[in-house]
Amino acid sequence: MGEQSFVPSNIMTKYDGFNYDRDREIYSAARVRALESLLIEKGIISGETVDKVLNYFETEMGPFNGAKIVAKAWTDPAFKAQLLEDCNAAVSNIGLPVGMSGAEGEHMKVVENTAEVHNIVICTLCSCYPWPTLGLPPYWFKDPTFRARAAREPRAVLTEFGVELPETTEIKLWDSSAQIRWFVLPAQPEGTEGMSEAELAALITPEAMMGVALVPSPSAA
Amino acid sequence: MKIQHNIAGIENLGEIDFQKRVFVVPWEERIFGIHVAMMGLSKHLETDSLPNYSLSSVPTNFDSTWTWGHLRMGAEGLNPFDYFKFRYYEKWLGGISGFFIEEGYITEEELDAKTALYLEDGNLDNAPLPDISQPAIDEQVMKYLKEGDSPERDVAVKPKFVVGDKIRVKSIPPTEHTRLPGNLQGKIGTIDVAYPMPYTYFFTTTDGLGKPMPVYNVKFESTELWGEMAEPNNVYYNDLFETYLEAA
Repeated sequence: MGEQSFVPSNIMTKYDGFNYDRDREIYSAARVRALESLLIEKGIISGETVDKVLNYFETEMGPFNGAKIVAKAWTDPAFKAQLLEDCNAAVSNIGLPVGMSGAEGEHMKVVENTAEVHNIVICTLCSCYPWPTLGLPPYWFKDPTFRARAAREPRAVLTEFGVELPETTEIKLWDSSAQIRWFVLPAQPEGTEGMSEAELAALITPEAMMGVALVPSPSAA
Repeated sequence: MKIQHNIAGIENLGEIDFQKRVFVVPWEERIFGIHVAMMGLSKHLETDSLPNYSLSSVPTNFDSTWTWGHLRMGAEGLNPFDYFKFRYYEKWLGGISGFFIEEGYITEEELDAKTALYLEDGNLDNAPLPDISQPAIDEQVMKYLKEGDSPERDVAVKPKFVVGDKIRVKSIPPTEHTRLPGNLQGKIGTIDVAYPMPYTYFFTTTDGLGKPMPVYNVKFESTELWGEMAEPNNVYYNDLFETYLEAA
C-alpha cells in the first residue's frame, strides 16, 4: 500500500487490502465526477438526480425505519405476529415513509431472535440488503472477508464482533441469492420494559437487525 | 465456478474489518447515485414491470436495460484474481463506466479527457457539475425507489418441488453471471419454503435464469456444506431458483 493513506487509519483498521493511497482515491473521485458530468451533459440524468437519490436515503430509506419497526414489534404483540408472517403488509401502514415495499424491499422477510435461535443475514454473492427498512449496507456486510467467513464459521465471527451466545443457541444463517430481502427482529434487552417506542428505537442498530450484534440493555451502557 | 462466485468458506482470511460506514470516501456516494438512476430509468420498466411506469414520457436519453444483474456482470466478469484488487464501489465505477462506453453513450476518450480536467490542480473540489435541471427524470427515479421493481409474476408455472423434498444443487459451468453460490454445487438440501409465485430475472443468463420460475428457500445442514470444518449447531438457508436444483 502507498505511504500516504487516504482513508484515515481509524476507519479501515483490519485487513488493509482495500485501503488505497491518496492518488488512487483522487483518480476515482475525478473519474466518477467526469462520468456524472458527461451523463448530465448528454441528457441521461439531471444535474440534481444523484443529490436527490442520496438525500432520499438520508431522510426516507434508512435504518431509522427498521429501528421503529423493531420497537413497535417489541411493544405490540399483534404487530409482531403480522411482521413475522408478512413483513411487507405489516410495515405498509404504521406511519413510516411511503415506499416500504419499494426498491430492494419488494419482498421482505423477518426472522426473530430468541433464547433458542439466533439469526444472521448474509449475502455471499454480493450485498443484497433491505433498502427501505435498513437503508444501505455497511462495509462489513459487503466485505469479502465477512462474506467468506460468516457462511462457515458464524459463531467465530460473532465472537469477534463481541457477541457470545450459549452453545445451546442454534444459529440460522440466511443467505440472499434471489430477490427476498431478510432482516432480523433482535431480542428485546432486559430492563427496557415500559420504555416508549422512541426510546427503544434509539437502542437498535443496523448490526442488530442483521444479527451480528445484540441490542444492549441501557443499564449496561 | 469462478472465485468471485465461490467466496463462502475461504480459509485463513484473518480478522474482519467491522466497518459500519456505508461509504468510506465521498466519491463512492456519486457512483451509487448513478447506479440508482440507471435502475430507475431502465428501459425494461416500461414493458416488464409491475408498477405502472411510463418511461416513454420521461425526458431521458437513457435507452438501455439496467438491472442488478447488469451491474454484477461487471464484477463477475473480472478475472478472478482482479476481483479482489478493487474495493466495492471501484468495481461499480469500472462496470458502469464500461457499460456507458460499450452502449455508445460516451467514448473512452471523452471520459479520459474529462477525468484529466478534474485531476488538474484545484478542479476536483471547485469545478461544478453541469447545471441542468430536468425534474421529470428525477421524479421517475424517486418513483422507482418508492414503488420498486418486483420480479414476482402471477403466471402459472408448476413447481417441480414441494416443501420437504430433498434436492441436490446442480453443478453449472462458469458463467458471466449467476445467482448460485459456488460452494453449494453438488450439496443436498431440503425445500423449506416454496414461494407462492415464480420470479422473473428480467433478462436471460447463460445458466438458466430469465423467464419466471419457482424460487425455494432451501435448508442445508452445516456438516453437508463444510464436513469436519463445520461449526456445531448451525443451519444455512438460501433462496434458490429452480433451475439450479434437481431431485436428490
